[in-house]
Amino acid sequence: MDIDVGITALLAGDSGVHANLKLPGAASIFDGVVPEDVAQYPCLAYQWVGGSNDPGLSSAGPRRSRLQVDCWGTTKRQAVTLANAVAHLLDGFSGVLSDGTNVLSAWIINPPGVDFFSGDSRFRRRMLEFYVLHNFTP
Amino acid sequence: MTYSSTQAQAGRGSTLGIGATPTMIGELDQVPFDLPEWATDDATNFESGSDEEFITTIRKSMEFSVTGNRVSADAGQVAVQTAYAAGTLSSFTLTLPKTPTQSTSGDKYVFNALVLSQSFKIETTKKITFAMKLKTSGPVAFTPGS
Repeated sequence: MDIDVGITALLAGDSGVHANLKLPGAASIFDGVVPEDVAQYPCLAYQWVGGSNDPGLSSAGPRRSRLQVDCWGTTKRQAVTLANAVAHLLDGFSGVLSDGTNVLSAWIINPPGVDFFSGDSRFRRRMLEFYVLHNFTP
Repeated sequence: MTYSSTQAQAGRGSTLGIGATPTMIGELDQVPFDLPEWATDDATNFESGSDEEFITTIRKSMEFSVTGNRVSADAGQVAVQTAYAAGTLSSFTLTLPKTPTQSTSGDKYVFNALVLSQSFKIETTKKITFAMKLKTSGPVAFTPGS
């Protein structure tokens, strides 16, 4: 299992998210750091920012991972529209991802998100955070 | 034994099985195991001096609730459900983790119990958990690990 693979595929495969990304498939989905090239916006980056395990006596139990998704745009409208699509997909999601990870439940923990403005690039960003409750291979 | 450091064990690795050939009940997270408690009778008499005296009479069966993650297809949880529905006595085996000096098995407690009740907790942002209340019947047999 590699939840990074699964989450990327989930985001790339959703029509609502896909419609608000600059490039098709996973080309606009980045692991942590987004490019500086304005031609690749809007885009998004995700990173894991913590979590906790809930082990049983003889089982690994589920893991609650904290997922940060940064939705970038050259305008606030781009960033917000992309963020809304990501939130619509992930908030309340449950199911098996393409890598085999079973997501028991996912939910947003900072609706509607936190807005940022990058002074250097002049880009806009809406940051979303989710809890993802899932199984994992220890 | 001269003390050098703690020999305490953590609970991780313990198992509770149901049946004469135990089927492990999967994904448990708590087993607050109570051994039967001795009932007593007051034997205080005029010659007891300043202190009460008691004798043991019989051990009372104990009830305790075991909790864990609900797993629909877990063979052990299915067997518990069957025992609960039938109201029949089942054999349970609680096996503790091996200590550093044990190579085959940890300490074991074998007992019969009724599954008195089951309960589930279902919340939107949490795993579904279950609890089963057991009532021991008869003795608890302890076998040290080896």
